[in-house]
Amino acid sequence: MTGDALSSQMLGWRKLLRSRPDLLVAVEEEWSRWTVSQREQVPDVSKPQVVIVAQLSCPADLTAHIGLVQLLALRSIRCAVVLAFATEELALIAAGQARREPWYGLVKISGPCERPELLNRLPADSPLVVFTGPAILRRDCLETMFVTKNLARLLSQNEDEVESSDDPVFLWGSGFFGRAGDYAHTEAVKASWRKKESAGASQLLALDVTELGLCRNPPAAAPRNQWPKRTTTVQLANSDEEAVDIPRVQGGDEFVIRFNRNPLPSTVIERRSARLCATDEPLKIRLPGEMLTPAPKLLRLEAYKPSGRVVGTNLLVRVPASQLQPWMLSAFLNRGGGGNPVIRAFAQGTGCRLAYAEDEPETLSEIPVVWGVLRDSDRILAQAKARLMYFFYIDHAYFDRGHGKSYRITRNRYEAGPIRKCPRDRIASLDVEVRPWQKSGREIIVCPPTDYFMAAHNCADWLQTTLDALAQFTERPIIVREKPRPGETAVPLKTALKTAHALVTHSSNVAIEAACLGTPVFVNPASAAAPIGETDLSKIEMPAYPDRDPWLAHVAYNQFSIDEIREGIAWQLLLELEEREFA
Amino acid sequence: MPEPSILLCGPAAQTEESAASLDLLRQVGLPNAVKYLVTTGKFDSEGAAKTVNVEGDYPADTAYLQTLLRWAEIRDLHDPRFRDGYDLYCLRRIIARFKGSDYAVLLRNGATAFERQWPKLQKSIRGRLFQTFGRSTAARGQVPGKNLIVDLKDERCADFLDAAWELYATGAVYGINEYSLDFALGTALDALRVERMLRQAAERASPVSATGTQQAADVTVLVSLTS
Repeated sequence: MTGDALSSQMLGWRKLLRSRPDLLVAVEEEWSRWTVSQREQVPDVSKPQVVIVAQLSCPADLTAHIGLVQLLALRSIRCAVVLAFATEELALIAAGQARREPWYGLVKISGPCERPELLNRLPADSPLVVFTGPAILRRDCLETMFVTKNLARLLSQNEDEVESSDDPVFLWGSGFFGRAGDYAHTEAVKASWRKKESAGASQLLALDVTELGLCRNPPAAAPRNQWPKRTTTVQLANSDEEAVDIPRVQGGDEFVIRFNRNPLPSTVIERRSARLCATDEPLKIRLPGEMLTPAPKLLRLEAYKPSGRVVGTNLLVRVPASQLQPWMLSAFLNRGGGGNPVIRAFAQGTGCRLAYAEDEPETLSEIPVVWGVLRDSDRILAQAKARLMYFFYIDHAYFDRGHGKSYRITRNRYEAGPIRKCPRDRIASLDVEVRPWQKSGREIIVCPPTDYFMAAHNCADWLQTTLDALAQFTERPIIVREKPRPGETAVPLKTALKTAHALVTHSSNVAIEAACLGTPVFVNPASAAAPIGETDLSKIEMPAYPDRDPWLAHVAYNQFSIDEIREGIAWQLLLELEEREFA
Repeated sequence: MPEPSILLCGPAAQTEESAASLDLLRQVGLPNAVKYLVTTGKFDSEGAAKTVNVEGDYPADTAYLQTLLRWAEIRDLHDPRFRDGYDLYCLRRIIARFKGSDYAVLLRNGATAFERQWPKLQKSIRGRLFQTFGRSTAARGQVPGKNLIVDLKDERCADFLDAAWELYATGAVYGINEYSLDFALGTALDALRVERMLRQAAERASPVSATGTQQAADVTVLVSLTS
């Protein structure tokens, strides 16, 4: 019984490397140095550019590709890295995983459909290295080829040399070193790594990392803004300003898309060799988490030409809420709590990432989708708010409430928010009882939030503040109605509201119920009932009695059944809601 | 000679599957089989099997398996690359928690056939570490995957199960063009061979040939590899 050759080779190699933690650390450090330099430094177009294609069985192979890292460690060349995967599905997985990696946007991830075209597109004299599996290179040979800039040797390498037993490049493993034009014709790429495995392996396990050329470079310097101040500005291609045309692109050009924070240090979002771009196809990039905000961001698109000339333009990029994509989202489970089934359903319905909030690092890579405010959901929300990112909040629904039934999903707020013009179909299907406004009630019912809520929303003294305020503006009797604890019995709300003048609460759902039953409500501006209630307690004697139909239609478009969430209908409705006009 | 003991694992990825999985386990009458029903929530197996809630400790691994599936833009939770990975995760959890059995069986279909085939399976697995049996996973959808038997007495077993799990947990199974459980497990076994081969090569190397300070480093590495 045999399995997938690359997977078994890479897996076996990864397992073996675990007995050399120092080597793994050295590889990771070298990757880190390279990514920092790519992220923060201006392309040095005086250095020759080498395209390196590394075939991976999964993204975890990256730190096992020692040969690749040996090349990255050479500071005398510019490396354009392509990570090649056997299937399109695996390439998509790699793109998803990459969002949490420091090399995100700095390497090209390629599936099998694109790869032949990508290699054919390379100019025939482009220096090309292809790793077909794990490999370790001879440092002295690399230095001869690259450090001394003796690219002629690299380019003249032929098939016979690569196949020979005294391979000048490989200490262990195999691959292709040469010109892109020769790649398709050489048998070198088909050379089995197994042929050279044993003799080399015995040596390499004992090798010192410095003998491999790793860990010799000093850490990258602190970021400084060395980006060009003056560049030739290119014209926008289309009048609608959705595309930018970079004129006269040449093979040696290097594209950089970076945050334009001048005079502050800039950070590269995407870096790509023009050799890896098709002139007639758009350069598609997956925006980093920092870009997933309602506010536009100023970017700088530049092409660095081998002549030293730089052309570029500023781009104001905004991701509209109605254009959000599943790959931009992370749905967060909690360890404990009741919201996990709906979070799982949301992830299934959208096809987004699923993870535990407690495991998420400090920096968000995607738009968070959370249930409630407990168990690290609040930490995730605080991060999103601090970075002005989009976020989605899921909690109990306004109608048809209860686990397994319906839930509200709101964007960048905890409640439904300002009224948008929505059809009545959804509220009609919910069969909500709406009574005429009651204008002759006597007492005021005050419903304080729970302790959890007050702690999470920083309003611990809400009840006392509210009672003090009411005392200034009314002499009506006030009834404080705490949320019944499990097992406690309380007068049903419907009964309690029969003789009420108004109900006062922060943003509890009790306000929705009261408003539907005809009792005027006074709430916090964040409450879903704010659009049909009052937010100013000085008006307690003059409640508002607005038309509730547009509000009810809107609220019903902010809540969804568990089946709608699981089937992705909720996500589509949420995106459509973003396009609806405000009432 | 006493009958070898069997750890029988019936996995359920959703609450609705638990009853069907329990039915399968009930149908096995082998006296030496200890039955475990793996669920994702509370479920009363009425004493027919020991129930283990695999989501009870909120593992990140199962969520990550689902994330890999979604990143690959596959919506079907019956996709064998996800489902086999999930079931393998359940089996590893059970094996780690309940030690002492000779064989572990992941039972996903055909319980009566399994009981009938057991003497034959026992012979055929000897020296093979694992074997799949039962219906094929070729058709995606509702069809349950093949059953799996693992020889827990085999000294390679722990490494093999770790390697197999790593293929699913890293997403490497999505890079296999013609995926099947057999093929994936074969890949894991091959990986062990590759690793062993490289280690043996390292052990054959003579540290005497090294010189100076490098020699000490070589010896240290080689000793640790041998052990």
